[in-house]
Amino acid sequence: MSTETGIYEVFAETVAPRQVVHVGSVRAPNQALAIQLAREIYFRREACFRLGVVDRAHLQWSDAPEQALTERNAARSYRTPAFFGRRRRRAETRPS
Amino acid sequence: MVVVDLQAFEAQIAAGGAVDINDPMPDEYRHQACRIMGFQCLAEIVGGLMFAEWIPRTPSLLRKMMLTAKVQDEMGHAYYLLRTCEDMGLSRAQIIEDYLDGKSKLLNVFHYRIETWHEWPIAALTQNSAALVQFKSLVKTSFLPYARALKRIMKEESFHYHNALDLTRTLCLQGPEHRRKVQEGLNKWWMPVLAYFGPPDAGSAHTHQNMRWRLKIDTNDQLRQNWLAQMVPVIQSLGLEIPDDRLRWNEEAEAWEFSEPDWAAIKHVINGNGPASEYWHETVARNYRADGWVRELVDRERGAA
Repeated sequence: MSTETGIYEVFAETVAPRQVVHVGSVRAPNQALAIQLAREIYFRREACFRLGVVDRAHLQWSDAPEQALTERNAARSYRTPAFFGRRRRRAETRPS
Repeated sequence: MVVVDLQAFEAQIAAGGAVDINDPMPDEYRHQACRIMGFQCLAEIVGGLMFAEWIPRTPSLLRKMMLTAKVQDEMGHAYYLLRTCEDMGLSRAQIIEDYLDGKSKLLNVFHYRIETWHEWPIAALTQNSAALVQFKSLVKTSFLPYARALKRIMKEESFHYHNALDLTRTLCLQGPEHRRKVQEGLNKWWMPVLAYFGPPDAGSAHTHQNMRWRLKIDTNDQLRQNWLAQMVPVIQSLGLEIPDDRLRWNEEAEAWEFSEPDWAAIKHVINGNGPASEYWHETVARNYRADGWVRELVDRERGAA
């Protein structure tokens, strides 16, 4: 990723359900113009409740993709919704 | 720079994997992805200018507003693409300057100019539908920033298609004199748009590689067939005649037959010898010079921020 300054990530709060999603980025001299530009570039036709911008330099991501964490959670079967059914079936088929 | 194991990368792509901008990728993949997006970016800008000059000549306020919206969309499309290009190190200035310096070439359709009011809707209809056919294919790309940009672009491009279809139909319904003028427009634009998809893929190493990497999805010939399948019935339903007496559906081959564009002539056009090649080059150069003060002002502000 380039280290250019003055890049703002653009987020939109959708109309329904009100949820914040990332839509892209703009290059602008300041926050106010970044919002204006984001409006022109990304919301000429599409509706959104409101939009926000964050200077890319201030956006902190976790170190590694969270995929590894998801896989670990899947391995802890008691945290998954299918756990109870599986456990019950196992108990039922167990010879008494 | 992360060293990428090419074999592992290709296996991942072959398995349906996708690549985002911060993921490791071979330099050549990055270069090709950037080149493809930069090329489309330039096309959006010049394509926008081609229609922008019709805004003042448009004879109704509503049509003026609709056309203005279309031109704004084209510039928006260029912007979605160039933000990703810039993140990969290709600046917006470079995209324009490479064209002005003759280092990059425009698509063949942008070497012509729309000359009459009756011509523009049919030019737009054929161009927009061709672009949509191409984007529908390219949106399956392995490069996620491009896929995301194309998704937005396609939604708006479909507005343009319907706008063009509506105006073409309106003009055709105004009587034989109007339909004749639209037909003249079709006669002018049919062949350039048929050639827009590029020459038959000769199986070049370049094409093979980009298809293996899913930076290109369908062959040029397949895209041309998709376009014909979609547009021949639409154009005929408007009471217009397709200016190619060899055009017919081949039942056995399950494909359209058509007169092959003269590829040597098309190449000549792309190299800057089309009827409006010089006009567009001058127009872009003039606009780029005239807007220089805005860029300087913005850059100074960014530096100060």
